[in-house]
Amino acid sequence: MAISQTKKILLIEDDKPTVKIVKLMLEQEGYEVSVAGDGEKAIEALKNPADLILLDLLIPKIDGFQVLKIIRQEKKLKLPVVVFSNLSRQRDIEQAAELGANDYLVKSEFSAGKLKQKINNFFNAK
Amino acid sequence: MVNFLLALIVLRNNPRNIINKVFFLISVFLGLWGFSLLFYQFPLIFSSLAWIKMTYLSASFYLIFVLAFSFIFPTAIYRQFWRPAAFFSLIFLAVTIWLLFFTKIWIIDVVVDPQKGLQTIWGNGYYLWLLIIWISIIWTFINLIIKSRHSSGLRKLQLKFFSYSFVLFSFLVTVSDGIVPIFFNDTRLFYTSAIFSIIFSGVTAYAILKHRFMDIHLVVARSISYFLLLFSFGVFYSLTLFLCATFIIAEPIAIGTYALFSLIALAVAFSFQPLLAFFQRITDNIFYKQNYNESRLLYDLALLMASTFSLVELTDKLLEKIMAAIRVSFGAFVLIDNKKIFHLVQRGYAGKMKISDGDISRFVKQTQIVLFDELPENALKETMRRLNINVIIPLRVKGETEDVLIFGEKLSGNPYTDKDISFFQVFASAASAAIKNVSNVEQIMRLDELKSEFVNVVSHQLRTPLSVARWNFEMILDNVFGKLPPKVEQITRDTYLQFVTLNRGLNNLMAVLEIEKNEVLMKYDKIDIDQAIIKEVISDLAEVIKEKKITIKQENPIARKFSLDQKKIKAVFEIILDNAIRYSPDGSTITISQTLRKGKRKNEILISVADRGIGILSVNKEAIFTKFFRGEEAKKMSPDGFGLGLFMAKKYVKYHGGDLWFEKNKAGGSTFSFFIPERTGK
Repeated sequence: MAISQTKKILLIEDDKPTVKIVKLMLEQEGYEVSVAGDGEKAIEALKNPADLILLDLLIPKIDGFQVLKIIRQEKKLKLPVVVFSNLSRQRDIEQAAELGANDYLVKSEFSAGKLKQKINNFFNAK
Repeated sequence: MVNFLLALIVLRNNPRNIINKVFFLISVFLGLWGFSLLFYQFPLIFSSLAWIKMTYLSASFYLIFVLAFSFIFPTAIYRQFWRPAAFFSLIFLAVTIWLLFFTKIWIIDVVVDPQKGLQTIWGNGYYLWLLIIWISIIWTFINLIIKSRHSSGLRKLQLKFFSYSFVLFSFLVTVSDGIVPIFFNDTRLFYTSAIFSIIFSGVTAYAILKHRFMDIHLVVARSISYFLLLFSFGVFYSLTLFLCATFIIAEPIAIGTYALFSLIALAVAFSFQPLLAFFQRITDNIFYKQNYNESRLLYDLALLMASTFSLVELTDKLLEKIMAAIRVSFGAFVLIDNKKIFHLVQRGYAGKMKISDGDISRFVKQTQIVLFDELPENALKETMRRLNINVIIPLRVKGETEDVLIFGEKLSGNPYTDKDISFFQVFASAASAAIKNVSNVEQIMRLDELKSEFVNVVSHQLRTPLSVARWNFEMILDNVFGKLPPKVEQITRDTYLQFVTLNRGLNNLMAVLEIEKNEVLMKYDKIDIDQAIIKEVISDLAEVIKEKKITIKQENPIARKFSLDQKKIKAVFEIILDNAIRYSPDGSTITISQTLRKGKRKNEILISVADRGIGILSVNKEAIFTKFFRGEEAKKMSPDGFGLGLFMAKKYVKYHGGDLWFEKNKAGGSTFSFFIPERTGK
């Protein structure tokens, strides 16, 4: 897929194999992907502008919910944040929505193709 | 008479108790004192001289027993002074008897003065006796005051009433029988001491009734109601007899009269119980002002116990109800686990109750209800005093005191009555069972929550590598890393499909756990079923469809948006189509049809998936939608399956207000259908 201007995605994820494959999938779609391996690095990475954040919830140091809270309540950033986790309980989904997540993707429910499509749709819909 | 009655009631209440025995003697001698004074004024038998001597003798005995009483009531103290007190009493008695009966230096004579009436002539011995009785009075008073200072609550009030009334009585008697005769040379006021003795009795009786003095509160209340009953019977019977004799019979008693009397007797017998209850209600209303209906309260508490499943909420509500009914200053449930407090639910207590481990170990040793006022001095009493506790109710399960319920003073200042105690006894057994049950439920819920957390984390940990593996295989099969040789590609595809199956199974398992916990939330959106669900699922299952060379035939696609939870209905359709593919022979056709139909109230969309597969036995018609059910044929054909899909699918359709079922096809195989009613709004 051709994108007129390279979009930047911040992938907040600690699991290295996941990072490797997701980064590859997204780069294949033409996105510029930067990675933060824990909550602290994620906060640090917020200094650099991104067009979308893919956020895992179970990450070291500061968990994903806290990172989301900091993004929305402290930093008051409006960029889209898509939760990307294998936690699938309703209470987790609701909590993320309350904290201001734009979408919640359960990893195990997406194939590589669907995931790429979902992210592309996100940008195309804007 | 009042004194004799009081004496008998106290003795009857507990004849073995030394306190009751001494109080009995005090009342008897007080009564004798009054009698002697009466006969002194009106000497029906013996002379006034003999009766005045009897009066003084009774007064002396009375004072000796009051002194003894001050040593033993409410608890025995100053045992080291008992011997001197007994010695003093003997001297007192000996001096009195000697002065009265063997000398003329105290009472010389009784004469009738023309102006002053009956007069007792004294000698100087009277002063000696006055001195001795005041030593006795002051000693008694000191004993009572010291005890009063070291007591609290009920006992303090009892001692206060008793000591003040005793001193007032002693003072008034000294004025009427000592100061006035000495300074005005007139003994006419002697009779007033009989009136003062009635005052003393009255105040003591008040102490008895108001403050459960010597435990005869209920006895007195019941005695009065019984007396009123007998009295009303007497009036009724006499009046009836009189009326009958005067207006009806007016003749010597005949057989008819006996019959009438029998009828009256029957009427009396039948009216006994209602009248008794009536008077008991009246006396109870007088003596127990803050009355409550015990069975009504127990009923309300039982309802609470049956409907509350949180321990803190249950105990708090129970306290609130009991305290409002019995009107208590504070109450607390001390729930104990392994000799430590694990829940302290208190109401009305200023600050947090400071209960030590030592207090707890004393609490759990109790097998019966403990009343502060009836407890001898010991460590438990000290704890109760420190925490202002008036009553401890052990809550026992299987013979062990597991928890305790404690209450402070009643707001009225009244003591706990026998009715309260019997209520506590009944309540304690019900409450201990309820608390045990609720604790068990809470424990199960905690375990359930832990299990849920565990499953959540485990599933997360399993799903993450599975997702990575699936994505990697997808990229490989998409030739991202280069084209694979045909054999490698086939093996990779097979492996990938295994991972897909495992992934779906795990997802279904998580979904079923959510259904079980009633945690499913619906998220409705306007969805084009044909595009967003049917075509999507066919595309998702493209690999297996291709693998089994299945032909998918779609009939009547409906281009209309329906309000539904996309994720859930997609899961439903995926389960049905996946089953159809799995259990169909290679190269067969699966037909998917969509129908818009009129339902009972609204339009419904009906989706059917017809296959030419192995079919389902009629006996399994219902069982197929239960958890973990797998038909024998299905197991043979596809051994790896969780048996959760159809259970979950049916639940999801039901959440939408629709239904899911299957029918056997005449040409073989089966048709699974589900409908969803159209929702108004989004």
